[in-house]
Amino acid sequence: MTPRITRAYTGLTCGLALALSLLLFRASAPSLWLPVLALVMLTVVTENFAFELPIVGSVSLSFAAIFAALLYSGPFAAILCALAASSNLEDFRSKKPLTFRVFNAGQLALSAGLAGLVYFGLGGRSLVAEPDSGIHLLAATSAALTIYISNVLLVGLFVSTLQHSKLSAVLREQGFLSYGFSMMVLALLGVMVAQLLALGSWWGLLLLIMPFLAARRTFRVYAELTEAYTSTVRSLVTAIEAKDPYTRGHSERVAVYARRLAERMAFSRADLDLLERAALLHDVGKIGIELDTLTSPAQLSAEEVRAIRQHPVIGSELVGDVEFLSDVVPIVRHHHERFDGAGYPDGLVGESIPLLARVLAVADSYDAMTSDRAYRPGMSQEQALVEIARVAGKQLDRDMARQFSALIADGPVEGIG
Amino acid sequence: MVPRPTDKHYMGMPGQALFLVALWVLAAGGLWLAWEQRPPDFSPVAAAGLVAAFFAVRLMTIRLPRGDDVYVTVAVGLVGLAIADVATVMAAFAGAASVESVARFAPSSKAGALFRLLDGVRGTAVIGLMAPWQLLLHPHATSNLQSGDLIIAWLLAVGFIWVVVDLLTISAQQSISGGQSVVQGMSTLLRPLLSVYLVHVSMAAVAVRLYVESGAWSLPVALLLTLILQNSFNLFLRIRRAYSDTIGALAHAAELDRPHDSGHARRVADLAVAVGRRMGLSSLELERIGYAALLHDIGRMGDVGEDPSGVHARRGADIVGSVPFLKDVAPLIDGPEETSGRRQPIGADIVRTCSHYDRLRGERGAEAAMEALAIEAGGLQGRVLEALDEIVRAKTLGSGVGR
Repeated sequence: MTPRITRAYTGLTCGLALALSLLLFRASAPSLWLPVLALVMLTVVTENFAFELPIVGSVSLSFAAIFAALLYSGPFAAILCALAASSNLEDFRSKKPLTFRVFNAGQLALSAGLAGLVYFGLGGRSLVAEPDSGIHLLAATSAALTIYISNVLLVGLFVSTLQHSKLSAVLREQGFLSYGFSMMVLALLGVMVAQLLALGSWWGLLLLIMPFLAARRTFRVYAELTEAYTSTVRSLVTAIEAKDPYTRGHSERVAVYARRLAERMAFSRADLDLLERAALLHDVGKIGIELDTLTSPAQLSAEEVRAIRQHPVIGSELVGDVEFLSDVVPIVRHHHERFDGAGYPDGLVGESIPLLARVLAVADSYDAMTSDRAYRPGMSQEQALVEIARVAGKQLDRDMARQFSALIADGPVEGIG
Repeated sequence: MVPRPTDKHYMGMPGQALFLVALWVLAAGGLWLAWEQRPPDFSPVAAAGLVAAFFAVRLMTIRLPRGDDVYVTVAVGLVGLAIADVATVMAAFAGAASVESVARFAPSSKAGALFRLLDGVRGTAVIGLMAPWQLLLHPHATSNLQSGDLIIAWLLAVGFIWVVVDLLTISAQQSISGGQSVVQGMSTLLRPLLSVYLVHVSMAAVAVRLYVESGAWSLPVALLLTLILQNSFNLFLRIRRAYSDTIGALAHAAELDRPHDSGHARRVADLAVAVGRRMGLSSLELERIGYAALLHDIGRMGDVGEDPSGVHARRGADIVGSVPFLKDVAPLIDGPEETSGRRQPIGADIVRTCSHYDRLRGERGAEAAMEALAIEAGGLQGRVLEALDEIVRAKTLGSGVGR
């Protein structure tokens, strides 16, 4: 159930939006309905094929249509487009709570209406009324900024009432800066759409929209492939690992532990993905080591120890062949460094060890302790936690070791079967 | 289009030079025709803008999954033809291309920079070939552009011709340096590039349409949108590349405990794709063959010694088949039909033959390996062996500069 304060806030937003719409309808009812209708149609189409642009997650292309409606016809047309933009069929199908949908319509309409007030207040004129006047640069820029700021604030407040968190925290978390960049690009697209409408160039409009439709399709395939990438790496690493019964499933478990620990420490989404890939690949350099050395129950010779200590280097070189994984290289290379500098291969100390390599080291150590080896049985969870606490600050990052112990103590880690 | 500067591309150098000279003769003819109708008028502002635009588009190189780099600059060229004279556009392109090639690639690879420069020579000639069509955009041989939506139609027409000429000359250049026919080259290029060409031509048309009636602001805005759209295609191609690189790296890792096999998978992949291409397989099939060749020995992991019964092939096919992305690759790794009992695509035969050849070559050299293969098969029969034989012979001829 949505909190009462969120519902009250939604009501307030929609009330304001409605009042503004009525006011603006009297002042700026469209004189030419056909182009406005076309824009509304365009919004419905783009919105229902939810547009994603590569620069940021999902900024809907309908923002361009809303802005174009504002420049071409006026605030009331913009509000119509905003309402069309919130009519997402996908939301109906996925049974999003009614409050969410109503709020979305309200906030978009309110933002569009406010932007209209700013645009005309600063002396902008609609293109349909004065086709030769061109677009008032200052007014148009301010209007775009108004939509952006009002949209960000309204949504931020909504999320903060929902999660009972501070507005500033929400704003920081949602990455609104890159969102702003996409809004700017889409505003430029909106300017072109408005001008083409004013020239009556329907062919131009078609040609302008088509590439964006093609880009959207490509970008969707890209997103799917990116998503499948990690699972492809996982399957292959699992297959390669299968040769050694003692490390079977090790990388996959380390990936889960590392990811949960990083989530607990509030790392960014990009860091989580990076860490997961690094964890899956961290022992890929071990494949080159003779099976006998890895599984030998006896004490290792100096030669064999040297061979094993090479695995982070070999692994990072293998991974380095893949341009896409260049960020993974330092994490794989340094996952056996120790906080006190006694680790290998480079003997880095403390904070000079890459952050994600330190996270990986904690997860790796814990899984190594709790699994069976040829030369010893695995420790119990309690024994391993005692050991982790003992080496915190020496082998492992103290803060991370503490967070990890808390994670394990909280109960079974999701994803470890 | 810039082919990877590998050994085989050096072989066609005299042919390349001849081709470029011929292209320039044609381009000169086109330029002369256009100048008869409309004398050049140089505008420094347009020239500077075009140099900057060409440069920006070229920085956003498109990297195809196989490792080739492609430049698509049609949008800037088309707009250039509309707002400036051909000589200016050619000069701007040549300038931007040479600065970009040298500054970006010369420090790391002299050969890379040289091949990009040669591509610049081709690209400049292509603009010259477009000169006569410029008259479509400017009626009555004046510098006034067509107005209304008619200009869009003309730009689409010129853009279409441009794309065809661009693809044709790139493929011809590739075909001279060895390998596939011109038609095959065009079809393998067209698939990944079609969307990018579409973006370029239509954005150029919109930009010029707005330029005529509402001012030059539309040109930089359209350029920015074009770059952003192209970037989304680049991301897509980048992830494709990431897949092939990663699979290569993991295949390499799987080879680490068999030192005598080091590099085998990579060599077989290069060879098998070359054989498949010579046989005229589609780019989708080539991609699968490449993956299959990289992974064909993954079933040998942890095994020592010979495996005559082909158990490792079945194991490898099972491993690879468990990865959804590689589902269609698994049948290419499985043993021959007699032992696996499944019907196999031609790609499986290619991978197996190339792998066998690579091992024999390691033992006794290329020629003897080919002979041994022929004896085993009872003569150079079958399309796979024929294609392999042609490639091996071309390689041995060019081995003076080979790797």
